[in-house]
Amino acid sequence: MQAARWFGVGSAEGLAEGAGARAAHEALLGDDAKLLLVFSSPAHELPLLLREIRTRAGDVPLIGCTTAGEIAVSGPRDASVVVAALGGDGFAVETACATDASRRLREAGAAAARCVPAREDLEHKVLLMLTDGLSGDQREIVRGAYGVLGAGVPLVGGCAGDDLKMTQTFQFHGDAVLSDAVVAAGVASDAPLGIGVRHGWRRIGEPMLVTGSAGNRVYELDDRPALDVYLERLGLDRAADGDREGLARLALTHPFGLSRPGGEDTVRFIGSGDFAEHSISCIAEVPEGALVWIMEGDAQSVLEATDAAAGDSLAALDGRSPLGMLAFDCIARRSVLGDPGIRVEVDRLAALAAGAPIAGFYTYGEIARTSGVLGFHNQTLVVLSLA
Amino acid sequence: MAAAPWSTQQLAEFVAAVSAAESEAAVALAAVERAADALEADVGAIVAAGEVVAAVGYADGAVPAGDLEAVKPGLAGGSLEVPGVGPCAAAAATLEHPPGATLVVARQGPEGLTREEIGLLRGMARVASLTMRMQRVLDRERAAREQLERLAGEQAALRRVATLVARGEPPRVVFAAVAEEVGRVVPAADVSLVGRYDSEGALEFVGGWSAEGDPTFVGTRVRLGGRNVSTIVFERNEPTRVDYAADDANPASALAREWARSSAGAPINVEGRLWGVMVVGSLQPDGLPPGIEHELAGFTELAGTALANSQAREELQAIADEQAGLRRVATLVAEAAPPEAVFTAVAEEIARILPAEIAVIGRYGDGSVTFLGGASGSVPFVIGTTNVLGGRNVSTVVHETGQSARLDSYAGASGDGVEEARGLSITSSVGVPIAVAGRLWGIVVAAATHGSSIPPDTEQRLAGFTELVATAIANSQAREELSALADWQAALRRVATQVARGEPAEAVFAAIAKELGALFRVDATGVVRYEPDDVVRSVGSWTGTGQPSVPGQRTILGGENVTTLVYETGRPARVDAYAADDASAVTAVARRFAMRSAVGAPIHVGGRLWGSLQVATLREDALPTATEERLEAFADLAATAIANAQAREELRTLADEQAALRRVATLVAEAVPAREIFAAVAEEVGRLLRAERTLLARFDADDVVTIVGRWGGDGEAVGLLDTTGLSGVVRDTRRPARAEGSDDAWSALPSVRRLGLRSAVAAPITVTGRLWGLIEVASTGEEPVPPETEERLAAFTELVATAISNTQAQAELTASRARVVATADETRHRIERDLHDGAQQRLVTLALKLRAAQASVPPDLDELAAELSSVALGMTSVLDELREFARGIHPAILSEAGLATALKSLARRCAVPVELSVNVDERSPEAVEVAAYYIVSEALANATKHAGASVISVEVTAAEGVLHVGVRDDGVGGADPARGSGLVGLKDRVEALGGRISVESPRGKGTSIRVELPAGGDAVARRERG
Repeated sequence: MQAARWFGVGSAEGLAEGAGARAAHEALLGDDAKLLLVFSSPAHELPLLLREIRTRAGDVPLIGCTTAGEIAVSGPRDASVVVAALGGDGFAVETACATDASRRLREAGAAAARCVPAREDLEHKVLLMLTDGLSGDQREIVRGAYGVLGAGVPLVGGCAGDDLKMTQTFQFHGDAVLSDAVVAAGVASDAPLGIGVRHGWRRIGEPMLVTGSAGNRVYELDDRPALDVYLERLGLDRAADGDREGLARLALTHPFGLSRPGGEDTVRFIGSGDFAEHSISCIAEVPEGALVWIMEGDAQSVLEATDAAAGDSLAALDGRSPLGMLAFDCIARRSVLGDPGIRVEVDRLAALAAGAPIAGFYTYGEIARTSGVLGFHNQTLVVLSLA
Repeated sequence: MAAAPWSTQQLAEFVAAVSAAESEAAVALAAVERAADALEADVGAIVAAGEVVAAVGYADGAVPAGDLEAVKPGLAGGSLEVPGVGPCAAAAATLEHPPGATLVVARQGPEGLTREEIGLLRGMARVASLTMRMQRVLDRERAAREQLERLAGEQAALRRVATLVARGEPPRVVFAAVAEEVGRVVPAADVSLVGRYDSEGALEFVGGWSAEGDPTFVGTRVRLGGRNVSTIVFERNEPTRVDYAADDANPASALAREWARSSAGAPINVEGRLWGVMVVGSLQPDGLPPGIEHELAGFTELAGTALANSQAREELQAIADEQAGLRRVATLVAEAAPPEAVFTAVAEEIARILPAEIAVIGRYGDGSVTFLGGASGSVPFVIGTTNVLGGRNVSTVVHETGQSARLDSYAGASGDGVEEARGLSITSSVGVPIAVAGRLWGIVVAAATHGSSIPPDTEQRLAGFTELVATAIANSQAREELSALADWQAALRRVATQVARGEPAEAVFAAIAKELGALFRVDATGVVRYEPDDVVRSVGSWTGTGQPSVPGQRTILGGENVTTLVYETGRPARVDAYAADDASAVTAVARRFAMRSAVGAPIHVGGRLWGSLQVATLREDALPTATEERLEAFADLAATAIANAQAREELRTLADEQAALRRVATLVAEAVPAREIFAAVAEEVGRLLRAERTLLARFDADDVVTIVGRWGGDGEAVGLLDTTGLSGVVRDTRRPARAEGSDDAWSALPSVRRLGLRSAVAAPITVTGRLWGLIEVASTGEEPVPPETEERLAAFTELVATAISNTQAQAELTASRARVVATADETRHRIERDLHDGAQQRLVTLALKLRAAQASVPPDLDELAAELSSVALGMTSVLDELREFARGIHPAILSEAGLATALKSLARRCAVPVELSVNVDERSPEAVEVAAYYIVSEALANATKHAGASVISVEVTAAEGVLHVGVRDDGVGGADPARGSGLVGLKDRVEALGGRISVESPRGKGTSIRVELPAGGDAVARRERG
């Protein structure tokens, strides 16, 4: 006999006062909520927003973050707030947060991971993580969490955004608005939780050898300045020098791919380039000695990946219909799809969810560990379906 | 891209990731993660001997080490059940480090790893081994370095605190510093504090430091109890450490927990007693380093020392206050303030030092006590009150017992004044007797009011004051004596000042004599010095009668007089009447001045009897009995003055002598002509020994004595030698000789008489073991030439001897070099002559004969003729060579045509243009011309061969008996006369002739040689004339 469970999503457009309360009201289908997830435009007055939501919802555990675009059933939006709520006796939730993540990435990941409820009766577990993508190598955070939880608990989540300003993102925990933090919710459920991960990028051209890198920064490719090689490969001459915005646009649709022994290549999001030292900054580590490809995608391949990811996540529900769906979608995919494309993407997700509510946001990096030790992705769509 | 390099690629990434790790543990973790990542595995682990070194894929703390270790290395592998994943295929590879370790991975599903994957796993295992081993070494090094740095930091911190303690900073400052230093030194410390245990089982925080800034707990107080460092240290008095449990509700623990998750503490002991605690706490998850509580000892010891110091300081302060009070009173006493003022001051000081409201000084009279002075704070107490003795009160008890008395309650008190005391609310009192000259004179009373009590040690502390009061009283009685003492002190001070000012001994002695006259109120005084042979000399005297004193007079000791008695006994002596039959010289003097009574005291200088002080009176009555003692005291001062003056005199003499010797020695070292040295020595000796005349003389053959230096006198040509007759004595004895006026035969010598000589001393000058001459000093003064003159002359005779031997050696050397050069020149000349007259002549003859023979050869014998012609030509060339050779040996042209012509010939033959200027009118001695010729020849050769000169200028002039030769070129310079060039030979030749040569050859600026040759005659002879 399964206990009652519910999942609701509310969204409110615009930055006006009351948006948080409206979204929360819409999401709260029952009065026994166990968790609130809040995905907000960074343009909101954040402490005020959280106060509104908590005024409506009470002391329900809450995590959330700012985004580069919010996703709800009603469609993708900017300058809005999306609240997802889950509740019922079939769920048990605890939350945790760790600050100063950039100083101790692995410890922050480990600290945040210690919140999965130890409930033998609720056998399906997942750790939802929201991190600050600007605080350093996100893989370390994921490794920290994996070290604590092991292979028994899948990890899902994404990096907070700031509408592509790339200056500062915020994470929410309870009524606190944090930065450089990891917030997490350990969810235990008596029904299956399915995860799908796809990106839809493909290699172009010959591989390049990383001959100089340190952490997230790539200095040399094939023994030459990395940025020069990258621009050349994409047919741009030095005329592009110094055009940071142009580079950022180009990089969104042309990430690096690292080869994997099986399955899809690992995609590495390119955050920025340094025209002075001709280096490239990625959102996660690119090890020296690695072979990398420049990757490309188009609307079709990206949408195919959307279908595949959603399909994989639903397939993992053992034939049950979904209660709801959470999507962590890379901002780069949004760039490929364009505004009409993302509308199509959300419609497709909604169609696959068969009426179940959808919530999510456009991210600066995605977290999904289901098999193997690797759990951090770029330019990827991660879908968590809850039965 | 083909799949072939896949494993290489993975290994490369693995190496990059693993090598970036910064500790052995980080390497292990990176290795298991990357290995699992590369092989798509869910689990990666390194296990060794049942221990998990690193693992991923299992929940925290749930890694099955045994299962992992059971996976066999190699292709076979095994399987593992991984929670949350299910059955997994597992593979392992052996690590070389840590020993016995394996790297294990497990991947979901039944499929085992491929061969390629196993190969990759083994490669990764090897890389991980190496990196871990390397990192372990680095870890150790880092740990050692951190330990060292921490120790160094701790030492520096201790030093800083120790400096504060040593500077005597207040404990508050030291505690704050200790807390801060501990906080900064101890790793992971967030807070540190110094707490003091009080007697009520509580802890007061007296110093603290917090990483966050202001430590707000300082000044707070908590009761001890519960399980926390402060309480445990209090109970056990030993270092301890506590990692706080959240369930201890005790306030001390709660406060501790608020500041620290773990804390460590060590006791602060002051002089063996537990005083407080030093606590350090950390909020960090890992807490404080293990064993840190034992490292706090250095700081707690310093804190203990600071406390002990400050306690000692407070005690000292109390003593110092008391001492200051005593000193103020003592000053009053010494200033001869009226006793009343002293009484008031004493009373005030007592009231200040003791917790007493009232302090009074009373004087016992006939059955009563009168209070003469006091301090009574706010209590109205009338000075001048007289109480009749009797009943039970301190004044009466002290009077009866002569001991201190105390009344701790006025309940049972009785007698006169007790009612008044009660009226003043006096509740306890202490009385201490004042004894003057062994008799009870009065009492000091200290009294407390309103129930407070007088401390138990008060009697003791009042004793110092009562003594002062007694002194003040005794002093006022002895004021007379005191003023005499003051005169005495003043006299001593005046004399001491003169001594210190370094005034001449005669002046000091005169002053002593005069002061003695005034102090002892006598008619005559004297200072005498004992000299050898029982002679006494007056060095200072004074008479009150107007009769002339006779300083400097020498008298033979003897008879019954104080001068002689002191000399004989070394102790003070007195003569109250001179025996009529005493015919001794000293007594005669005393009698001449009509002295009746005299006292003398010895002057000991440097442990030896030096002389004596004497006072004498014309009066009938004898000098007072204390005279000896007082005179002896003054004699001590005189001794000091004399010792000082002597030391100063000796020093000055020594300095003068050293300076004189140095001046002479400098002359000797500069090798100035002996004549100048002799003159200098004569003058220096004369000035130094204050002799009117000095002379130096040389003993020559046939008893001839030649005067070589003199000083003083009136320029009279007559030498002392004719007059003193000492030269003969010195020559015969080879020892110093002395003559004085007492030697009648000597005094009778006509020259001695004529010159008025009174004494003379002569000392021999010995050069290399042979008597060479003598030095003599003579004086016309009354004072004979000082006794140490002989000794002091010795230093000068040695210098003279050195100068003489130097001069002789120099002259001999020059002469011998000249001889060598001359002999060489002579030989060259002879060879040249032999060549010229012999071989050369014969060759010329042969050539002529050959030419003749050639002419007579028949015309048909062409070949013979040609042969002969060739032989003749060869012979001519041989002849030329021979001439050239002969010229090199000795320039014949020089002897024949003179220097100018010879130099012209040299210049002509020189390959470099020579500007020659010769300005010589007369021929110089041959040796000089030869030298000049060779100098020019050598210089031209050098300039041509080595200097690469383009022009050479040669200048030769003769002026005032000196031949000047100058050669200058414009070549490369840098010629070093010391380095084996022909210049050395030139130098020898020039110096052998008593000439001088100088070579200037700065690099790049050409060479200039200047030579001066004495052309007037024999150089050696010229030197000897000097």
